[in-house]
Amino acid sequence: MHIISEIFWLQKRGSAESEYEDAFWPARSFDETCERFTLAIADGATESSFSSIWAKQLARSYVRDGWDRDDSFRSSLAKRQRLWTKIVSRKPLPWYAEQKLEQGAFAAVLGLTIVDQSGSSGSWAVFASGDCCLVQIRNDEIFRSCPLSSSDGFNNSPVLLATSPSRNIAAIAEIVRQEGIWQSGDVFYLMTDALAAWFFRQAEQGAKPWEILLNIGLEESTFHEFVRAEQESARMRNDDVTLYRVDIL
Amino acid sequence: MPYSAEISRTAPSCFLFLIDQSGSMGDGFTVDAGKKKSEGVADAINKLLQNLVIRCAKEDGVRDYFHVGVIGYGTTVGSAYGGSLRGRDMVPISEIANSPARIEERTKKTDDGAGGLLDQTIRFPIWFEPVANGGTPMCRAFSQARNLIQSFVSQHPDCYPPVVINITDGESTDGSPTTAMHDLSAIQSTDGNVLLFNLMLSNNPNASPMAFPDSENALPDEYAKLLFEAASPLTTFMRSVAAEHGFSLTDGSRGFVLNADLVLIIQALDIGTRPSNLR
Repeated sequence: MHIISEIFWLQKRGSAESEYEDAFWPARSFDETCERFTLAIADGATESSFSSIWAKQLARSYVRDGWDRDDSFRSSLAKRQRLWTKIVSRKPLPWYAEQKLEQGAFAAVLGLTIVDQSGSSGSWAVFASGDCCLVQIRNDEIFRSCPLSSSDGFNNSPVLLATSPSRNIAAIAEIVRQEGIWQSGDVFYLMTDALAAWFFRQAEQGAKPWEILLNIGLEESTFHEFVRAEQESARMRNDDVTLYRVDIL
Repeated sequence: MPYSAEISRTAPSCFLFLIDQSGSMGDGFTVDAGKKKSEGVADAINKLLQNLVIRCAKEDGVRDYFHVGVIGYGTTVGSAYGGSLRGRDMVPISEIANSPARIEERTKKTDDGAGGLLDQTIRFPIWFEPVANGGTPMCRAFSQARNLIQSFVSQHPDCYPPVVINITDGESTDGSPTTAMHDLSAIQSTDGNVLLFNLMLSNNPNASPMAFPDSENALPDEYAKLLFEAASPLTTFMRSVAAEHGFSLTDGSRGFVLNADLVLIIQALDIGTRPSNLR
């Protein structure tokens, strides 16, 4: 299968680029033929500290460790939790940062694995914890979406994967795994919550948001301009925004 | 839609606490007689400041989502901060984080993971000390509050509206506070009016607490009605936080509690100050 993937991201309005707390992996765009393609996005919670490190850990570990089986996911998660603790414990912290750290970090993650079966069709599998969303477009329509499929499914308190094992019971219970079929010409959109909510709202109003995202093109500044315009008009919530677009030719 | 503005470092909001420091605050809580009302309130405010700081803390420091003031009224009326913040009115939360007057070590019981309890030492920062002296000059306190809030809103006209929480155990001794309270809650940003809470501590061991009523019908006297009437209706988000605490409220429920014990005060403070929409 011939994959073209492109990544677009932007920190929330009013924040510095270094304060972007979403994450994605692989970190570069692709244009190549392969038999299996794996990618992930993640969204670190604004209200926790060191959540960008946690979001990066989750996105990378989906791709590198393989979360297709429950046991591999659980051992990978435990390894990443230990790694996060090691990273954030490197230097002494003031009293408030120390107490905040005890609460741990939280992030949503969405991973997608696409497998070739015949060159022009194949299967995909998605792993979702939290409110990052996948949309599959076929023949100019939404063909599948996961884990959410409408704008009213978003709220400010999704259940997220935590760095603390004791805080993960609900999140692990709510993990969504789905599978599907792709064919040549399909386009996948992986979106963090603010963009996904915007996408569904546009579709509910009869628009074709995938056309807008498809036409954004290769220029990153165009994505910036699009997101800022939607945020300023309050059609999109002010948040870090990440889009991974995957075309299967 | 009002009360929906984002709270960010470029558009911070503020909290202002008005704390009765009159002589009667030196009496015990009816349900926790071992602790004076002034001490219980000081602990609650210090804990609230601590929680707010932690909520605004990120790996690179504390983000100034809020400015916070604490005005005491008793023998004098003015800033109740201690330590290096003494005399300061509205203080950015990052400065509060870095300027506790002192840090106490306290112990708390935690789960030892084996069915027992462990004593864990925790650091408890103190910004505000208990005081119980003099009368209850509530009008002067509200007049000062109005000036501070007016100034904040002038600087941040699009902010999430300031929340002002008045904690008292008695009647105003410098006149009726009705006008001063209305002048304060009439101040508005583009996102809505100032939100005023009146939290009245118990002075009567036999009186049962009343939390967030939606009408004055069951209130026992004119003074309670005055404080109820001046208090703001709770926002939708505040009602959702109240529901977490087990309160079932209506659209008309107001930021008013009567005959409150310390638990109810802490719940009301959480309902009034739980941040939403931080960016």
